[in-house]
Amino acid sequence: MRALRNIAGVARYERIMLMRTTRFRALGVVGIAFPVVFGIALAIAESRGGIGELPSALGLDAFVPFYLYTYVQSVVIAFVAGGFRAADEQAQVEEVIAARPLSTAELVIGKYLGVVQSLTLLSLSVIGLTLAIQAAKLSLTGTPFLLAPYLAYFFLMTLPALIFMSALVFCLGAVLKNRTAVALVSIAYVLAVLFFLGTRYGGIFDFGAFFAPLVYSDLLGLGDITRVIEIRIFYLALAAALLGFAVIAYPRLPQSGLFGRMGPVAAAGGLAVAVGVFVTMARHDAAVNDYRSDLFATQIQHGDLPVPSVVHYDIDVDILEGGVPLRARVAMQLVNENDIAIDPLIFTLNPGLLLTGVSGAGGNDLPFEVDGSVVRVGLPMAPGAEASLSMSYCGDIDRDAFDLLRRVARLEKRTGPIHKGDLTAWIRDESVFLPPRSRWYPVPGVDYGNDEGRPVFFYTAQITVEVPGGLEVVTQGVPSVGVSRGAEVGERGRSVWTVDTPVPQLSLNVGRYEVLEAEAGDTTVALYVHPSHLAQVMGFEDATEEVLSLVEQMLRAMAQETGLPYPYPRLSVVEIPFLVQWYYEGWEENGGLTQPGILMLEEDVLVQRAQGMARLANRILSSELGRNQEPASIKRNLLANTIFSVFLASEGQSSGLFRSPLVQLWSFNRRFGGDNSPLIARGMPVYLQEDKAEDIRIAMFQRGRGGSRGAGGGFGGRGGDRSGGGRGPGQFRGGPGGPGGRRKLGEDATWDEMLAAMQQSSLAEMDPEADPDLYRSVLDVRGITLFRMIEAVVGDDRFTNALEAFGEASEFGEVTLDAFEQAMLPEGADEDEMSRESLDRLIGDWLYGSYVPGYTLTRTEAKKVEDGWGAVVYQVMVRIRNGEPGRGFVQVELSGRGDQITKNVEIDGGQEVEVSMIISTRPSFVTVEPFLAKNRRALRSPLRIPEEVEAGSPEEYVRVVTGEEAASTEIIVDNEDDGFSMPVRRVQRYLRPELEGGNWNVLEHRYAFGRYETNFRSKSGADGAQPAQWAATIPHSGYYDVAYYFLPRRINGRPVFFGAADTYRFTISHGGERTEMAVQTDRLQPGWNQLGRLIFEAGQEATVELADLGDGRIYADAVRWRYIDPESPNAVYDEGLSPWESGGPGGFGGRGGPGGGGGGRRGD
Amino acid sequence: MDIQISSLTKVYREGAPPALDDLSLRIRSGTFGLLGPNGAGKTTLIKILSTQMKASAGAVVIDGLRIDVERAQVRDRLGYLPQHFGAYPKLTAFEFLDYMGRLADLHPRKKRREAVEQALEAVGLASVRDRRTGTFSGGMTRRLGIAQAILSDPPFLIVDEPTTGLDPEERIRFRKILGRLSRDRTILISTHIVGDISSTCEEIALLDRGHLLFSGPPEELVRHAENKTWKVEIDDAGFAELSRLWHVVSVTPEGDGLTVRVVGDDTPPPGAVPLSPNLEDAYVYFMAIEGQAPQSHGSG
Repeated sequence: MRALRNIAGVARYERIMLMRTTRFRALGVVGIAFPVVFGIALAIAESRGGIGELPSALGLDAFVPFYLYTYVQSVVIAFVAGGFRAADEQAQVEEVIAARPLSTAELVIGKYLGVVQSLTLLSLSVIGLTLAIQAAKLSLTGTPFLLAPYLAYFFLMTLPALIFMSALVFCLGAVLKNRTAVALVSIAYVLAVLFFLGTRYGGIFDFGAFFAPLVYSDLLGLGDITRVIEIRIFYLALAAALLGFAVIAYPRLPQSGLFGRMGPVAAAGGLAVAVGVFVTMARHDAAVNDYRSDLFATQIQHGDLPVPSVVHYDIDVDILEGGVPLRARVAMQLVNENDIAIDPLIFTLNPGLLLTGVSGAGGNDLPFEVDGSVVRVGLPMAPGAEASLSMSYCGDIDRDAFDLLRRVARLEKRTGPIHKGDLTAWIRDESVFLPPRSRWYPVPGVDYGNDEGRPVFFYTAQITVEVPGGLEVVTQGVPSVGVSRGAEVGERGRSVWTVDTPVPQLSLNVGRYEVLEAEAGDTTVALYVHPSHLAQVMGFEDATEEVLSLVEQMLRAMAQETGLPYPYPRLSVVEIPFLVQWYYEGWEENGGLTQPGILMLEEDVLVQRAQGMARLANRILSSELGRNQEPASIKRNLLANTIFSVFLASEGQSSGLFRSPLVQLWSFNRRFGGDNSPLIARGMPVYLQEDKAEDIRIAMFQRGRGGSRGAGGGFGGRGGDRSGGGRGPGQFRGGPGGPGGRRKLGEDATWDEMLAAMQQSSLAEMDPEADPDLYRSVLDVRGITLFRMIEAVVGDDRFTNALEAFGEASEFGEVTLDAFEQAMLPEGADEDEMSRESLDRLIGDWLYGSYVPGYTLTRTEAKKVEDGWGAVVYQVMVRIRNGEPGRGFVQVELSGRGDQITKNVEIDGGQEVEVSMIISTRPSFVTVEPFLAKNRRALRSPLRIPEEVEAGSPEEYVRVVTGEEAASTEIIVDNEDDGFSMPVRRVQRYLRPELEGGNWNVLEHRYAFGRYETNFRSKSGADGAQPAQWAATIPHSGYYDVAYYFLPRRINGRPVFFGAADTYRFTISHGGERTEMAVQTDRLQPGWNQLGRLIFEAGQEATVELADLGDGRIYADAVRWRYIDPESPNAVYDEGLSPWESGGPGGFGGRGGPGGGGGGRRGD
Repeated sequence: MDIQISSLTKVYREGAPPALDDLSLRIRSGTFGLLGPNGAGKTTLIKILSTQMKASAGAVVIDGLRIDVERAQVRDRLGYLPQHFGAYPKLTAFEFLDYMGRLADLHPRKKRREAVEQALEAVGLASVRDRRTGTFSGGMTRRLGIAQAILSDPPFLIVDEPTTGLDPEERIRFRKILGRLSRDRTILISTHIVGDISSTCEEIALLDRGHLLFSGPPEELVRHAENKTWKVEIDDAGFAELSRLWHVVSVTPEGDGLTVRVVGDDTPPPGAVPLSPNLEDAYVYFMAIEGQAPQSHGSG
């Protein structure tokens, strides 16, 4: 008791003293300023519509201030607590206290608690203030406000960090005595955690802890934070040990022998607990991995065994009855479609579910064995035989028992307190989430070990689910009318779902949902939304008819633009806990949040979007724009944009295929086999998503009311990333999508990584398991390009028609790439541009080649010609060179006023072709859009056409330019090319010898010249002894325009680089002469800057040298020598729009490339 | 309160001369003065008695409690004012004493508040009870130090160099306080300023280089200097010769010459006038002659 009083006494006055220090008050100001400034900034941003999507109770805006504050707090602890011993000495009270009748442990603990109390009070103040701001904000938006996430944050993040850091600092303070040394060591630790330990070993400030409170879901409550808590216990035990060490190191005689042992006991005990927790966690992880390895091995053993097909399920499930999470009886109708008899029958069932009985058609018990997730049933089936089988089981879902391969790869790559995807299936009081892969119902065959992949069956089903009262059930199919789908709390509800359209998988979701249901054409559309989010959705109640017509239109447009009708009678959009989204990142997930007939929508997305739409609707209604429009119409258009951005967004964005209805059109009603099946299994949905979503959008708006189009278009950029306004001619044509688009497809791997990978091995050779992210990126890029090429070859309409026929024919059957190719371009069909052979060759190269073509636009020329019928037409001749060894494919596009023609051209490696096209209206530009190539964007050249009409007749052709002609007419030397060097003339590399090229640093920037790499070199201006030099051998004698590539100074108002020297000094060697010139950098334009037109001699090495002279930075990127055709010396052309004006290089996508009209809006 | 020190030895480093060498001493109730020059071992003894340091050998028993075994109980009975005392500058005098009262296990709160008020009253700081101690003068801080030492009314009070750094007025005030406190407890005053103990101590001990030179009442120490204390009037030229042969206690300029107070066993110098010795004379005499210590003036 006395000890407690002593500790309390010390703590009280330590707290008082600390709170009176300037350091502490400064921390207080900083801490309180965070939420206030952040809150105000957010409010301003939201009022301007900038970041209105930041969510509510789940939002980062609430937690980021805490998170930052925790780091600030950690640093400040180092200063305020590290000198606890030194402060006593400084105040000269050390001796007085030493002679007081209290133990050293009481003293140290008291002081420690004083610090912790003070900082806890401050943290609570910060949280309280943030909470108040959030509550006030949320009260305006109607979003439910939850206290629990804040408390979770405090207890999981702030307090443990405070306790551990204070103990660490106290220990250091007791040992080191020197306050500065303590602070430095402590800060070094914090930085180490921040930049190294935290992300690797679950440090106290790790992002796992950061996210822990964020996994507080309205639907689910707090997520799975077991590991977070374990790690917190580990650190708390370490804190106890550190405090023990602090007591031991404190220079004071103990009260007695007993008290004297307190420090060592605490140190040893704390260490023991910490080690114990650590070992427990490690053992648990190892045990889980062993368990999963065993499950995997068992599945592999059964991988090649023949399995029966299942054609129908009768599933009766009781959820949460009598304390049992799940109790089920599943009857299956099986068919042996194999040529051989099957015995035993192999099924996969989640091993957390205890199989209690298996019976045959007559109710007779059948022998069975359970081996991990594999169930063997003793029921012989002859070839062609049919059988019925029932299984009864109960238990809970074992989350460690599925996704075996994926988890191994993920676990190895990502350690930390929260493994993404830990909460992948669950059965909780108010929420059940059972995706098909959790194997919550028995499925014939195993998931691993089959060379052809998991066998896919299509089956119908009758699913009866009993759940606690007040909960709604969602699964595939259609709920039967007249059954109780929800009941009062205390009773049990019963829901019956009939699946008549065969599906390959079944999911089961249960939750506290409000159901909004309506008919949209032949499809019933139902929205399952949590009651607390209902208010967000009901803001659109007054536009119900508009919304329904929109959904109907969308479904119709999807069918028309893709040729694939929506295959299910019901489309259920189900709100799910938002943390689930973290799971869906594996390439093998087909659609992620998409299931047959079900689209899942994370709660934060729903709330964000609903809030954003409501805000925008209000703004539009109060603006000039909205004055002449119907509110319902405005809401309809806003919703349309939101649907596109949420459900039909680009794959490279966060949503992508995760919850795409387009995936439902293709992926769940056919199986994929044959060589390169992933290309068609995943490539087609990606292609549909990338290329067809926009077509659907356009189709919908064209059918929409004219008056409402402005709203939809005007604000389209908010909802989606594709502005609906001002579609330029050809922008949305099924173009090849050079890398100039806005999307960032394949974001899991960088463009450079993909290029390197694609040049190392072909798609067919790549191992999906070795680097799933890279494989997925390459697959996406190759896949989408393949379908674009095919579409370009066969034409838009033919492609869509063929896809429609193919889709119908292949429903519930097997699809191969060969069959698809055959369907698209049947043997003997009319072929106007490319032969079937050339398409085969192209696809073959695409799949089995390990190269990536690269193109240069070497020459353009245009002229007026009489067409022989008295009309004047324009003939444009374009020369394109593929500088890489592999064959490639480009689309040349010529746009005139109201007219547009395209030509698909195949170019062999190292070949240069000349394409001549005729257009009736005056063209302004010619654009060459490469399909997947090293070019990061489309090539584009303006056309200058003499007014004189030339004699002769116009001619359309594609011809290979002869060697004589093809000699390079344009040479670009990038800083990555061989011709670039940084000779060290006089100064030795004594400064930074590790740098290649002396002191020229390599800097990455997406706006650097990007033919191959988007980087450049930079160094400080010096004495001119280390210039940058570009050299090239000139192929032809004659005049060349010499140009230097310069980066933009600012992009979107943000500086790209700083402090270029005022003057750049170039020395150009040409024709045996040296021309020196000084260029004022403020006059340099972003992109190519003409240095001069100079004469060069063939075979001579031409150099351009940029001296490192000046008082600022020197930037070296690329130099170009462009041959001037003596016959048309005034013809000029250029690569497309400057990259900073068009889409971002590095991404793919792009169908639009440079874009026309208003479509050139920069992507995000 | 009876403090028995038996054969106390403290060696800081092996091979170094002991800071305390087989020291035995008994301190009874009342004020006990501990005199000695620098390095005599006073601070070492104080640190051992105030439970801040362990002895290398020997024993200290305070009121029947062995200091090395029953340290907690000893601390319960101990008030301590170190030579270098300060207070937390962010706390007021009241808060500081309240804090110290908590550490002295003064409970309940009411009792502690009363004790704090009394202590403040006793040292004359009641009027500044709510001022932060960071604004206190040296004398006020010293008085606050004695207040914290007496807060729990300990039977044994150790005061180390209580008046060092104080101006004469504060020094007198402080001595008066100590005088008042000595009525009902044992006070150990360690000092090198003889004046601090001359008027208050019933007993004193003289330490030098870890050895006890003398222990007993001050009068007994004074007796050692009887008939050995002289006053000599001398000019500047003769002072050097005089200080070579005699131990100078004090020098007072007077007219064109100096009046010098000396102690020594030799025949008095010409013109010397015998004086009745005081404690300071005796201390100087003892340290210089009987203690075989080097001649020293007022160093402790």
